[in-house]
Amino acid sequence: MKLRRNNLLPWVLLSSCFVFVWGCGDNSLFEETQLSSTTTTENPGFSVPFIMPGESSSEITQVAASDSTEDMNAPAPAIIYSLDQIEKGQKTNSLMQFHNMAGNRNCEGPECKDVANPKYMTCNRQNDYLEKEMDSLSKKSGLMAKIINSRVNPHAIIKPACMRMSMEAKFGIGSKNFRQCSPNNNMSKAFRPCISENYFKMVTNSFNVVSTCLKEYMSPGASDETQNLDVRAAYAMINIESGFHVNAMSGTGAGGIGQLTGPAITDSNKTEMSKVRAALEAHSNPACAQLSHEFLDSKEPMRADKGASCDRISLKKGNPVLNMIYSYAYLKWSKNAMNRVVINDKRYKNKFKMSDYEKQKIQRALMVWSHNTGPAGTWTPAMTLLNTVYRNKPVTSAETFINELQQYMKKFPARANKSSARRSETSKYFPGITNLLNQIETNVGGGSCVN
Amino acid sequence: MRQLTVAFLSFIFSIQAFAFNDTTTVDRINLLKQRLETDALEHRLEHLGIFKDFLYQRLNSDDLMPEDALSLSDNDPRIEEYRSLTEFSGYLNLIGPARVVRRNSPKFDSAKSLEALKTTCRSARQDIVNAVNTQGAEASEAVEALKIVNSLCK
Repeated sequence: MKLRRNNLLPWVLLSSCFVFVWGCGDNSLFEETQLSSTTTTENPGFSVPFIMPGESSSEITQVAASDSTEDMNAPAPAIIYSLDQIEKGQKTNSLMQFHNMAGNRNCEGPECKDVANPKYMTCNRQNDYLEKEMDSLSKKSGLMAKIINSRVNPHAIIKPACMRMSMEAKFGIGSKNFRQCSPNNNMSKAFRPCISENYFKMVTNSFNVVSTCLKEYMSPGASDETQNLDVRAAYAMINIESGFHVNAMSGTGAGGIGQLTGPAITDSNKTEMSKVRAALEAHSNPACAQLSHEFLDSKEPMRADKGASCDRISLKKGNPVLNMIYSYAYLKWSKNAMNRVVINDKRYKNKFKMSDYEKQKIQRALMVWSHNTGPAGTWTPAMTLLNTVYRNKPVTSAETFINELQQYMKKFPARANKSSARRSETSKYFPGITNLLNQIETNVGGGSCVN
Repeated sequence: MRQLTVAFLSFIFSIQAFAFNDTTTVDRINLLKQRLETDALEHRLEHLGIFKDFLYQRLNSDDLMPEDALSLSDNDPRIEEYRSLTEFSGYLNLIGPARVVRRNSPKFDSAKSLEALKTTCRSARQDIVNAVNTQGAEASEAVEALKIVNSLCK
């Protein structure tokens, strides 16, 4: 579904103002501009990739009484749905659920005060079910309390405006693709969580701290730019999978921020988590070792069986941080598998006659694609492409290769993806992610979601 | 549970011939298994490397698939055969290491080759099983690859 230009313009202007104001301030890693708080206090001695506030006084605005854009029977694939949500949001000017923002198109004059204080939802009885838990966690000691109490860093790896747009665009406020865990770990259906200030801070700060601590593990020795582009790929994938909602749960049982499945959890536990621990403990930022200690060492590993699905979504179990760590771990395993089978295999690697930058684009595409297709679901069409179209010529353009791979996913799927529904879903998965990412980046003012 | 599933799959597929029908490849697999089971441990990875080269050449042969593969109709039987061989080839590529020094090379070192084999055996089974997990249960190509790992690491 394509966006129409005449609907896009006010939204782009509005978003640009939002981004501009959010992004202003100096460039210190641990300082931030005004969100809704009025003072900034650093937290000395604890170097985390977000800022501890001195105080926080959220300015909350009324949200539209109902979300007329909600579609309880969202059409598959989810990507089309998300694009549709953005388009509908533009039409109703309610996507970001700001109050009185449409007039602030040039961000000049007193009306900019509204833009300078991004608004959060007013929670109601149906969607406030995480609030008490977050409040309780924020009063405890430890990293999660710091994550919730710290204000969002405008210089986080991924721009806060992009995070916010993800959280609004994937699901409408009336969506019930969410689960609430009772104290004895029974799950019940729930509405999309209220995007309160605490919730936004918890999700955004969690993603920033996990990404900061694991980007070297994802791409050891790579430049900062390359590592940040890998974080952007993880952001784009999570954006499609859960819209960054901690308790999103699919009908197939995939759950949480990264929509982890049982096999992905089992595989991560067996092959990656020890490496993740080592990477966190060796990190120069002490917050990363604390991450390992508090979320991995002091807790039982995430369980893979369906009866333990609360492990993937519950705040008590350390989510969203834990689910993010596992999502990175599984991405890393997929990346290694794709490298070994295709990119770095001695029979194939000489086919890629391109810069490292271009080659990394293909690596990222294969890594993200295999999250949906399974590893063989990506290497089978990729190897078929290399052994036919590129039998007698080198791959010189990442973009062309990725476009061709989309066709090959449909024509030469792996055994597990041969049904027509899976052919369609798998072939559209990565292009859909890219398309949605491009829409978000355009809507937050152009450029990249990477700061 | 997962080991049981793989064991069950191994049993089911052991009573079938192969996941694919290409007789040239099937003959080479039988030869490979024979060599893996009889030749010295430190030379086994070399046999596997030679087989991977063969399979790569086979997949790049017009006999199995033309360069303009997209022109084939969707129900052309060559597509399924090629798919199966390619998927199998991917599982084999999970059996590292990437480089094998051939025994007639002056760089060949028996002790290093043995160490490489041990490292390979440690991770290969796990990586294939991981990949099978996310593919669903009917991964007969993975079972073929696991049979080769079993011969390699015996």
